[in-house]
Amino acid sequence: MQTLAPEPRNGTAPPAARRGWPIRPLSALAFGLLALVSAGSAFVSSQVVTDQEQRLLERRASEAAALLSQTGGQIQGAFRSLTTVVQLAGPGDASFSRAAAPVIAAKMFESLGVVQAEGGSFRVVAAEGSGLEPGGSPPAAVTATLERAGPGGVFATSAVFRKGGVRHLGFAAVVDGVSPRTLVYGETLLDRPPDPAQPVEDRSTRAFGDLDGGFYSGGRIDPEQAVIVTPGFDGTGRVVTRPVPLGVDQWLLAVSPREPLVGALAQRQPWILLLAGLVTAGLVGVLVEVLMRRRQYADAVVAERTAQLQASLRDLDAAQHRLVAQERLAAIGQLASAVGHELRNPLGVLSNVIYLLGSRLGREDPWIDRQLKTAEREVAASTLIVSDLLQYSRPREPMFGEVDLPDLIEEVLSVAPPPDDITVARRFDGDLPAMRADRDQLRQVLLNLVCNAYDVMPTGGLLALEGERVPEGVRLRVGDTGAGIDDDTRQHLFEPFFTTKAKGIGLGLAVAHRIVDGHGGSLVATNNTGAGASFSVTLPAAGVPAPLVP
Amino acid sequence: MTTAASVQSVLVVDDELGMRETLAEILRSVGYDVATASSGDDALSQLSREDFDVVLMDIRMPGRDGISVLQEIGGPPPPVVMMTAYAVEEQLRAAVEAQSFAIVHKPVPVPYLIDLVARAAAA
Repeated sequence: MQTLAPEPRNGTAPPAARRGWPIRPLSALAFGLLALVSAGSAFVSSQVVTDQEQRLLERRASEAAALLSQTGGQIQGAFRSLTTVVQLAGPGDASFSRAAAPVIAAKMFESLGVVQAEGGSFRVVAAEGSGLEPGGSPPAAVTATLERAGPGGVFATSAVFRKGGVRHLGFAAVVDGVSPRTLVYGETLLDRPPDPAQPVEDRSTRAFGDLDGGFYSGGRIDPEQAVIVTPGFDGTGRVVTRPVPLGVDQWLLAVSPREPLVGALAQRQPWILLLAGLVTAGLVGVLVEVLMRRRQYADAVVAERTAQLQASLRDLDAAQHRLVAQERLAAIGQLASAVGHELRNPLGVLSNVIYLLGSRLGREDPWIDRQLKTAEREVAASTLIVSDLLQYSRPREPMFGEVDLPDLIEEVLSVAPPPDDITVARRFDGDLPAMRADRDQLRQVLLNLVCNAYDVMPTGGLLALEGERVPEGVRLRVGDTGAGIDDDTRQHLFEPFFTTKAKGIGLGLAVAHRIVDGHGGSLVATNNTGAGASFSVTLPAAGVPAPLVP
Repeated sequence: MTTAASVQSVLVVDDELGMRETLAEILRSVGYDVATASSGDDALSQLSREDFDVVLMDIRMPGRDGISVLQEIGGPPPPVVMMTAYAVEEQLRAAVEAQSFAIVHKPVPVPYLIDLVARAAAA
């Protein structure tokens, strides 16, 4: 039976990809890109809103300036009428007072008068309203204004000046065709105290109630020169200015929005865009993350199943190869077995013949003895090859009996006598018990160990054969004085077909190991402290219960 | 062991001429009276005519094999040493072991064979 990979267990989570990031880079990228886009659009939108706000503010400023210009036109109209009256009726005529009274009543001016140049200064000729007296002088602050004023009712304005601590503003227009230089002059009072009879206006409903601002005499923002200024406006912040021509002068209108002109919603639009964009980015990021995780999970499952399938295929392939190899080995085994059996008989006959020759010729003659021993050794080596091959390809169960170790050793040495230059040293414990073994198989083991020892000592040496009693039974040590076993060799020592010899098929130790295993014993190779190596076979003694051998 | 007074007899049964003759020569050289048989039937007919002290017999032979001969021997059987070049089939092993003096695997070292036959003859 072939062992296949364990069945894939359903429900086992495939190994999740562990990485430093808690989320996949792609979902982070999707979130980042969308967040970037929403931030960008929020920025553009805020630019658009700011731009729109600015354009609206400028348009409103222009509108306000136009309106103020219109107001200037009304003043000019009033001055044109008054100068015409003075021109026609003369500077001192009472008709001026009649013409000026409704203008004052309309609260356009605090006082109106006619002034005439007299030497280097000006003198009030006629006056209406409070603040100017006939025969008096106009305030020194307006002298420049009186000199600048143009003809045809084109008035000039003064800088703001204080009279009795109250800020005043002067207007003047030349009366044409009268000499000396005669002008209609008017003063208006700034910072008029609030009229309790007048209900407080709701600025938000008034025109331009959406603006804060100031209207300044002169060309610059100067709180002292402020003619009209809404509470809280100080000329800082987002301010748009417009020059407003008034008569020969130019005033300055400065406005800033009280509330965003584009509306609160438009103002919040960039933030709304950003928030919506971030929320969308977050949702998309989560979506991508979820999809990717699902896909990764699916991929991992597929990969795992594929790996399992491949492992199964590999196992099947290996199993098939093993089967083929086994079949091949079986075929080789059959062949080896057939050849081996055919060789066993002739080899047996040969060894019988050598024995007969030895007994007829006598072994006292060393020369004859040496030749016979050589023949015996070679026959033994050949027999051993055949036996090993048969035992390897067709392992035989041991047939246990009692085996006397020294007796078997002598037999082995007679079957495979040592070469002349190898000395054999035997040492056996006196109380050595019989071993429980298959005599023929154990002989094969010892022949292998002894013939190996001969082979590793080609120039002679000492073969030590020692039997001792051990707790496990009987131990036989076969020691040589050869080169010993190097580490590389030791790893493969008992592998079949491994050999360090030029001759031999490399089955001897593998078969010996297998036989000893089949006896429930052990075969151990060690290097001697001096020279060479030792192989120790430990087997149970006869009479003790056999160990369980599978 | 053999004595001068009574020479013990051995029947060597093997279909292979070389093996049969060398074994017979070896046993003669150590003092046995040796007869040979080249088949199972030959062995049975010799056993029915003569008493042998020991039978040394190959298991695998053409025609009647050694196991069959072992089972056919009538009367009080002599000790039989069975020789085989093959592993004995598992189902036959117990019976063969019970009926024979010993089973040895070929090739059998000569000193061991001589010792074995001597022990069988003494049994």
